Amino acid sequence: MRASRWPAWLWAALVIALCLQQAVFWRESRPDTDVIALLPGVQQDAMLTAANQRIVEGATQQVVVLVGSPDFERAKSTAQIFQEAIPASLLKPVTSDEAGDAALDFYATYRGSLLTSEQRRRLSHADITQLANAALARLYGPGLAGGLTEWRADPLGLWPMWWQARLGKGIQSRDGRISVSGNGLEWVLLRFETAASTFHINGNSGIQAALDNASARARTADPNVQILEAGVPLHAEAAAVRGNWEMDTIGFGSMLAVLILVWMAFRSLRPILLVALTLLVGTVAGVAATTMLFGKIHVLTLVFGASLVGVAEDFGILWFASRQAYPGTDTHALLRHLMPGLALALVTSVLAYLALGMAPLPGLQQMAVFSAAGLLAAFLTVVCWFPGLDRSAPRSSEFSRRIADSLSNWPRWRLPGKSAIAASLIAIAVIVSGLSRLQVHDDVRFLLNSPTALLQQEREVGRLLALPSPAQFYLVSGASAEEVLQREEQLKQRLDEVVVHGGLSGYAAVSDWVPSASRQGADARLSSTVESAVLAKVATAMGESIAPVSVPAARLGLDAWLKSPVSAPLRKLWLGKVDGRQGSLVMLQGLGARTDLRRMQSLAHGLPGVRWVDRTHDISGLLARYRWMMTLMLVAGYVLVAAALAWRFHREAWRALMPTALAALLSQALLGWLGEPLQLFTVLAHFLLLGVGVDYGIFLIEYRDDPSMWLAVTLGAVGTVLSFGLLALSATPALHTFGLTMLFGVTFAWLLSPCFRPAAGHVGSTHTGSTSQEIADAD
Amino acid sequence: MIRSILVAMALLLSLPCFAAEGDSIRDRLAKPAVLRGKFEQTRHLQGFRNALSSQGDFIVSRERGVIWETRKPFPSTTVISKSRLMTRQADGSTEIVFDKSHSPAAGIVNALMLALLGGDLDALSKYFTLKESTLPEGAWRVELTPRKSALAHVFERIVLQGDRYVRSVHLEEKGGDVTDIIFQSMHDTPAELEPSEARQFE
Repeated sequence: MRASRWPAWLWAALVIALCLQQAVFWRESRPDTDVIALLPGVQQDAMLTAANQRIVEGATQQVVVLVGSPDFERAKSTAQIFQEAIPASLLKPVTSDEAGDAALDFYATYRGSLLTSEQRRRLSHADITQLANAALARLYGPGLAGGLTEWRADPLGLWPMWWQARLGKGIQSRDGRISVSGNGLEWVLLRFETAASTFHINGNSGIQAALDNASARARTADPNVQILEAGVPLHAEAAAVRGNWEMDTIGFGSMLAVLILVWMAFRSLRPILLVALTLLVGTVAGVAATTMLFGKIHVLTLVFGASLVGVAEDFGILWFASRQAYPGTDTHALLRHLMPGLALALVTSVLAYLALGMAPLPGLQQMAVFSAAGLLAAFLTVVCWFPGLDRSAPRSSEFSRRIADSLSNWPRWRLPGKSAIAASLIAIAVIVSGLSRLQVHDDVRFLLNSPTALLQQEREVGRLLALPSPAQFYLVSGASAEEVLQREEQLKQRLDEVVVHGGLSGYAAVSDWVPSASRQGADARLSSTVESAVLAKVATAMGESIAPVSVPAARLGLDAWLKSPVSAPLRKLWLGKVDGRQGSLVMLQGLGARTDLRRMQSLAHGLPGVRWVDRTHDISGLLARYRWMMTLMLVAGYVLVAAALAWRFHREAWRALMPTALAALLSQALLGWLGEPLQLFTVLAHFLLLGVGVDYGIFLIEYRDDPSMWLAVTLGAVGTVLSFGLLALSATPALHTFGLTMLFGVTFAWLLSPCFRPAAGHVGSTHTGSTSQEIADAD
Repeated sequence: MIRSILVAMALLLSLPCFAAEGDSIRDRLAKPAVLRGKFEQTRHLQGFRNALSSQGDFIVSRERGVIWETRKPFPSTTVISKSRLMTRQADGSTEIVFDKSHSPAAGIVNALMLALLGGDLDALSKYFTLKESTLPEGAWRVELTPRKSALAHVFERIVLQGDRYVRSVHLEEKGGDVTDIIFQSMHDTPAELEPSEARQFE
């Protein structure tokens, strides 16, 4: 019957349309490489979202370099050489004078109202006599008058101490550079910002290469110089470089493996070409569907799609295996014969992938759409084009025959039999013991895997500069800016106690630089009272009359501070107006493994408007929640697939599903034995396993005792194992676990599916081992 | 604080003396390991009608630092060691003005002091412009003007005078304060610190 030409032409037209769409799309866009877009949005409230955004914004573009040398002058000149060696187009140097003279002058206008908490305590419990004595000693001693102002204006030397406390322990501004001492060396700080406006990874290690080049130049100038580099862009680049390598290896590796397999089985170029065609069309369709639906496609979706190869080739292989078994049959008739199996396989796989897409993670939705569209396109290619394109006589091969024949010798699982019971018991034992050893691991750090050298430098830089930790902080909100500042101060009182006991090394808050108005007023009164008392006492002791000098004690307003360049480093802590309220962040320094996070959380109790935020914990909690949700959806997926199978196979549906379910349990148990933790990506792998594994059962039941089916299943399984097995090589722990789960799962599913095949001659509505004649007759 | 360094510098002048042929001041100065003596300091500060005079003893150890013992009119002790600067009052209370770990500026203090200890006029010239002039009978005079802005904020200029040891320091501050110190009765024996003196540096 020749009437079935039009599907082929229709499909051809569709494919051409897709290709055109792709050509247009790729002329203007590139794959989306924004890593941040993949992170689940913490949709709790506007204030928290603003806080998260602010932190991410600040962190993702900064690169920090410390150049160290025993001698400061040397460090300074080497740092200059380093900075000049970096192209500004790649990394823009950030200079800020917030620690310089201009800054000092800015704050000097308000200095009467500015006190550190240490100074406040000292002055409140001051013994005027003692202070007066100290002041006298300083006056008459070898000239220790502080030096920043004349003595009368600052008899207690409060101002230089306030300034030093702000700069931080050990950090100072020297000759226009910020420097810090540590590890016995003087370090000069260089700050850069990545020139790209959004955060992109493109597989080149541009930034790292530039830094290495600059280091080399610096080392020729001073061979003993130490250089430390840190910054989120470096980690992202390292991840991207590795990701690119993996994409190349896994994508090409799996494609190559599939093609070799097909050659060995079918000894002809045609199957290879046609299978490659289905894969190509599948990929194009997948990309087109994703870009049409989402407007962009992420690099990780492409990485995932590279392993789609292992699933989509099942359709083509099924076709060629059948053609090899029934060489004389008309291709269209063969297609009709295969249609139920193909269609059911497609439906179950697509159901499994779409269940995946129900997860609210944007990356997963893209992957689901990509995979479903790609599979559908591959299916349509086989269905519409293969009958027309593959008319020549298929070659047979010893390889195929051997595999196909092995089906009849495969053990069956028949319940009354002793071996069956023994096997079942062993299986149950393995499953139970393996699952009991399973640990759950939802830590978000599992998603990334930076090289140790980078991590070490990051830690060292953070320690030297006392950088605050971005993962845990306090969110302070209030009805007005003044209220926020006051609440910050209340929190800081509690934090001071923790600092004293060593749980923290310090904190950073806007109110350090801009105390609340009430605090400024109180401080101004306190210091002027104490200072005038001290002056009076000193005057008496000296027999002098000291004309008092007025100390500038204007109130520093938040707006003025925010507008001035001196607020540059801490401006990002002020969230400003969000949702009708004002908010700010209080960051913590020196949070270590020893810090009791629960204690930090409890510090916020009883303080209205103060909230403890632990982003690592939140995101890990989110991942755990998703894992739980997806496990439920996995069960739903199994139910849906079982329903679809029951509709087709009635009472024998369990035979198709059992191997996959067993394989899932066994592989999970095996992972438990190996110590691999259970996490979100493991559950993802189970989704794929469901889609792929159930196909084998379907083929073996739909076409019972048809050896060519076994060949198709074997080839398909090995192909899938090769493509996903390669993922187990990934350095990212998540992808590695994913690959391992698939590796074990598919292998078990492959080996177990013939064990559950129905006995020949069983009552059922499906085909028994047909002859070519029967197929042609059924036409 | 910085003023004290300069005083220390002056005392420690252990600066290399000049060559016998009136070549450089460096060769004229002795470089003892420990120098002891008396000082008389007069300060004219803004807002004070009378000058502030103090007298006392000092010990300069090239290795450990300076002990400045004010006896009149208000007794106190200031100890400048490698890592910090401390004042002790008559009532026993101590005050640490600068600690190197908290304020690396103290590191500069010590660096300067060490430069002096090493007899390194060149190190001084990193921070100041030197105008050296030799005077008859082995005497000399050096005028220092600060180079870097940080010091220029505080000091206008400094004048040192001496022969074998530094005899006087004249310090003018930007704010208009003037300090004059005169050293007397200097001797460089015993060349070791007494244990009680050494303990002060801890």
